[in-house]
Amino acid sequence: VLEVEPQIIEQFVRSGEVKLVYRHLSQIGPASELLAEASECVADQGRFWAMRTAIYAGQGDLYDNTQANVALLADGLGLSGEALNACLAAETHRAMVQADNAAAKAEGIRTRPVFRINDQQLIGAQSFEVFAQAISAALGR
Amino acid sequence: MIARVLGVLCIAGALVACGSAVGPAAERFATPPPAATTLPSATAEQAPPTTVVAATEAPPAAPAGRATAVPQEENGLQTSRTAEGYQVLGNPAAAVTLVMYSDFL
Repeated sequence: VLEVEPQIIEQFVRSGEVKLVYRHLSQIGPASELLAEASECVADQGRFWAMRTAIYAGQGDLYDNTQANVALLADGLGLSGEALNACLAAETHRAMVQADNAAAKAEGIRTRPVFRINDQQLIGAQSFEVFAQAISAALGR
Repeated sequence: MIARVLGVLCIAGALVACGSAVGPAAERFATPPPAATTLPSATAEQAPPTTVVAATEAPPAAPAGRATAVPQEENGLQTSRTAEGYQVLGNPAAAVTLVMYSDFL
């Protein structure tokens, strides 16, 4: 994600040809569900995509003390860790995140990551070249 | 006596003339009274455009638990949500949609 996605963004998203849509999976259990909730709490502060990148970059520190460490990530983005904690305590987005995971399951998503480029599905991490080829095909090039 | 009658008629005529001149002006400039006969019809006439504006400005209804879709921007790219409430980065009208199903761990 951290290597390939910036290339996709610069080559296809910034031009307006492609949009990215993120679907939450919480297959790992409570910690991954909490992180999905945290990302939505941060979305309330307008920084979902920046937080998502920060979570992936700091993933190794998030298996333990997940809530405290994700609050530190929010602080690092200049956001309110206090607001994040309040949002998590209120379970503001829990039902939504759980519904996202259930909807993905209902769509046949059994592993992660999975990508859909219009009608084409890619399972597992892929190189930029694979994405570029699939996107170009979808664009009719 | 005749002079007194003429005087009274003259004053009455002046008042009528004055009244007819002041009446329309009062209607034009005075604060409209809460007239039950005109206000409801005026309100009814204005209601449709008000409703249309509200409908066009109102964000699409988001599924329960999702924040209202307010277009924003991150890193120079538009951010929004799909009709279902999923996070979107980039042009909402882009020809190609890259959906990413992922977990944070």
